[in-house]
Amino acid sequence: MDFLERFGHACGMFSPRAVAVASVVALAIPAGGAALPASIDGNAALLVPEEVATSSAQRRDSPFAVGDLFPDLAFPSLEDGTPTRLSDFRGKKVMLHVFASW
Amino acid sequence: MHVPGWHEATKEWQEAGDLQMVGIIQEQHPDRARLFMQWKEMDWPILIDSLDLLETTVVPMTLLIDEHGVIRQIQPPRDRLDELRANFLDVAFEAPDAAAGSLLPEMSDAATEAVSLYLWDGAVDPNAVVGAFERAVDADAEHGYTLFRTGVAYRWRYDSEAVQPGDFQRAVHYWERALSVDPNNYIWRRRIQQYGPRLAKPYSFYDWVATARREISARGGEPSPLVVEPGGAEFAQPQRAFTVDEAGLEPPEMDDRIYRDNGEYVEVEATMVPSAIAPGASTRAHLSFVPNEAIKAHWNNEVDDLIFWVEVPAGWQLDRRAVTVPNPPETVSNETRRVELEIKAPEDASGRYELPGYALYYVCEDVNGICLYRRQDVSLVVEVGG
Repeated sequence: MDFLERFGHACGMFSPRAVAVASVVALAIPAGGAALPASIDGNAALLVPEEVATSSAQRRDSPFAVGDLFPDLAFPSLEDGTPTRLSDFRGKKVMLHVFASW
Repeated sequence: MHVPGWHEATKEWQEAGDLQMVGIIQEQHPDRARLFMQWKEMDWPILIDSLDLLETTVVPMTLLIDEHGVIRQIQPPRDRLDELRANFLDVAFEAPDAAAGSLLPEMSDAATEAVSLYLWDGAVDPNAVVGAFERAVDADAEHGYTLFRTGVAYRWRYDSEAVQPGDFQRAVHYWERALSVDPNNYIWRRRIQQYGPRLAKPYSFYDWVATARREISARGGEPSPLVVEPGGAEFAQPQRAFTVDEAGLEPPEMDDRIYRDNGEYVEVEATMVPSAIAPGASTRAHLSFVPNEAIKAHWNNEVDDLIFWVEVPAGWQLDRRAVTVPNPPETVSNETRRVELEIKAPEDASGRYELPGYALYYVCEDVNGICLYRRQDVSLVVEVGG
């Protein structure tokens, strides 16, 4: 079952939104290791293993839940802007603070 | 404070290599977090999520994440460190099975392209980023996160050299649209409050900056520079009642003989935050005065300060009757000058109000060598809804 089918089943229907979302995720999971489209080349933000992907269409009130893998998004580091993800700290116990200086 | 408190409480574990601290910040201007980290002497990695790709709705939030990337606890209590040690640090967690979930940001192709440009293509023209976000809004005009992120892009361009007229107001507009989609998102709400009136502020956003600089300097350090200095709204303290500075002045120019500037010498932009208010509520006006670079316009600082005056109908209130921008010490300069003031509508106000105002300043230009005291009319538009 490919992702579109899986997503459609989960949502019960293919709304235009659902198709759009699914296409994004499909882009993020290049089959057979194919290169990403140029438009998102370098944007590792959307790369996640297919097995652990859940659309935010099914989102809970909080984006985080105990037992979930932390979303494998890449963010620019404050130090030098290089793409950094939480998975770069795999093997370590991490205390993550999502915050603002205000 | 939440994060520095955790830093202090876990310092030994960090130094022993038992615990890795990581931060993800949500601010429009991430370099302010760099100053904050320097001030609090915290040197762990910080990731920037100004677009809120994580789709958090509140901050601060603390999560314990195990060696496999699995969230093990949310908002652990800081007064139970023994439990944290025993139930998290000292536990060897098993790798998750394939069923473990992870949430993805929901984005259209157009939004993905816009986000990618903003995040990863540092060389891209800010106009291209804003254009990409506009296309993303076209693709889904009711997607709250796309609306919010489009506002972030506009404010980002406003703070860049590629600034276009109306950028700040458009940023506010998109943040307001996002908030209308989900009024419970406090990340979006804070972005407006950051620039909004004191009556709507939960706290001062950046009043800590002066203290941070002073304390860093006192211990021999060089405070990390800020790309964009926080403005008055960002320092302002919240208030429960609208206050008026009664030290009023007479209107600074009653006759009509002062030379006019219709924008040839100084470009003026007014942004209202929020753009529309309820009857009885207040809004904050942000005015910027930019000398026209094309004619090498600049301020003459040996004469009067820039002053802005606005007239309001009966029943309306201003926190200050006249706002001045003191001249800097140098003889001439060409910096952008900013004026902020707050306006409160009466309870019976309704509709669109154009409040007539004007600025007076001494401006020179180097093409024809003209230096004159000039007046520019600037109306403030306030929408009052039911």
